[in-house]
Amino acid sequence: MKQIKILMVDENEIMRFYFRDSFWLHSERDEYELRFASDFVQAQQILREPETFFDIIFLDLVLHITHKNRLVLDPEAGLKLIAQIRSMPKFKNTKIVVFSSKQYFHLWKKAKKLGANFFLKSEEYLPRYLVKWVEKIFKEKSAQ
Amino acid sequence: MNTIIELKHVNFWYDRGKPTEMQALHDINLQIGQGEYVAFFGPSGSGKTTLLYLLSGTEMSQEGEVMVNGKDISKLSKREMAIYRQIGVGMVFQQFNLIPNLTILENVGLPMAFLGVGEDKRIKEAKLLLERLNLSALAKRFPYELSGGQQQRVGIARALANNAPIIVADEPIGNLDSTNANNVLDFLKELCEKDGKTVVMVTHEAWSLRDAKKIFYLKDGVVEKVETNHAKPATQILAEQLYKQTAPKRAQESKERAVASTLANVLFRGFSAEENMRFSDFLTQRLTGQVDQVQFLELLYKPFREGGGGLWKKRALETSRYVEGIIQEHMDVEGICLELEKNPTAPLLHEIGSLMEWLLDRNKIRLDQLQESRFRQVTTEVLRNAIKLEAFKEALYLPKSKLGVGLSHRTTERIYEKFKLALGNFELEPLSPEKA
Repeated sequence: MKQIKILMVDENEIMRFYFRDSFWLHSERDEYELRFASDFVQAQQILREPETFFDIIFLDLVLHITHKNRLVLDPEAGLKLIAQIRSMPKFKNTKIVVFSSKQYFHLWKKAKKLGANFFLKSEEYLPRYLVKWVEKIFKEKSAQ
Repeated sequence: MNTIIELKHVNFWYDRGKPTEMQALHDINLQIGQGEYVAFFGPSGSGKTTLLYLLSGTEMSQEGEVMVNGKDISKLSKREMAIYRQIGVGMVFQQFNLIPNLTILENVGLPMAFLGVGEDKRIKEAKLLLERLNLSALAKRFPYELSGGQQQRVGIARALANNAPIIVADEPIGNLDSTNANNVLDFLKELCEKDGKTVVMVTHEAWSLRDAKKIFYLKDGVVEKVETNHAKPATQILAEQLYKQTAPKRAQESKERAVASTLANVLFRGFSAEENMRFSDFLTQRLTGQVDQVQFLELLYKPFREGGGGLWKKRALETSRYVEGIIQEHMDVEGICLELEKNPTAPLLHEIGSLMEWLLDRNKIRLDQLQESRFRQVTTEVLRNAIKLEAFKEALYLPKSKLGVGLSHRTTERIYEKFKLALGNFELEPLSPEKA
């Protein structure tokens, strides 16, 4: 069975651990290949790697970006990343999932316009449900 | 079957490097399959709880590998281990460990709160879990308002809150009466069979191993042997049923055997499965009259390696007296019930008085006048078959202000178990209107 490649972008280390461990504990071994980016810049670097491809990208909207030589927290930094992902041909079929707190749900319309496919409120997903959700999405993707 | 847990050459010490150093586990190697129900069985100090702590991330392994779904958790950082404990393992404790100032609903939702799950979602999920365990009506109560059995069910619901794939249960029935203990065991089995959870139970009670598919016998920190319980094929179950139905004499003996088995579980909690079976045999021999009181005592006292029970003399004497009490009371109860059949209004003051003395074990349980009067009343009602034994138990536990006897939970359980054994399989026929 083809391995599903997932990228998760989140500055919160604990969130990255939860995400990683959810797939570790609730899926078959080697079913998923997970990579993580801990900030905006690292995410860009990973996305630009020539041979890199992802089936699904999860990202938080709230990230630090450099503005006038300072790092600032930008609630819409994730939107910029979505636009960049969609500008890269190799990711045209990649599912983009906004995985953010429900307090940012008001940004969903903008995210969707830029090319995001789903918004998952991070407060509502217990680990096993998250894995099941990905399984379901990937089955639908395979069926298309 | 995929292996979800694997221990490789695991050694563990408490107070390592200190004068009080003690090696609790010696070169442990074992595998547990995904969705298996296994038990770690052994006496106190055998290392079974230490093993459980290593699997659950409560203790960090010092030597060897503790693999969970292909990853060595002994290499995790403290932070990573904290997350593993939250979402990898659900724990059920012997002492329940509920938070006293949180409601039942809040207790069940608490693990989800640590995960950052929103309040609405937490409440919704917690309510579903309570419903599954028939605890919905108790959602707003506090732990002190619940019985032991109810508290343990809350403990199980809480262990399921974060949907962990592995459930570990540390002596989950240790503080429960037999009815509630059986309910808990049934539920653990259901978690395995229906939910596909991997269940790991620690126990020192042989009878609780009934559903475990694999049993790891531990002694002095070593896995002595591993047994696999195979489900009986349908043909064997059918053959056993036909055997019971067509052999009434053997059915009678099997009644004594059933009583002996129950008695063995009551008297010999904490003994190994092999020891328990042996005591059960001795009890069957005594209950069927194959051995007399003296011979029974000798069997209990004889060294284990010579085929005896290996008990200390004092314990053997106490056990023998208890069993003789059961036999005598059973005969007395039979006598009482036969008398009541002939003469339903017979006062039987003396007979019921001595039964009460025995149930209360006068040296240990003292009642005031009101309690004594109510106790006599409910005992008589059981014998006259006006109430069932379960109602008798309830009446003992009910507070004096609510017209009960007002005994503690523990005393109630003791008296109930004793009375149940004395009644044995003697079936009280319902009173017909003419007799009443």
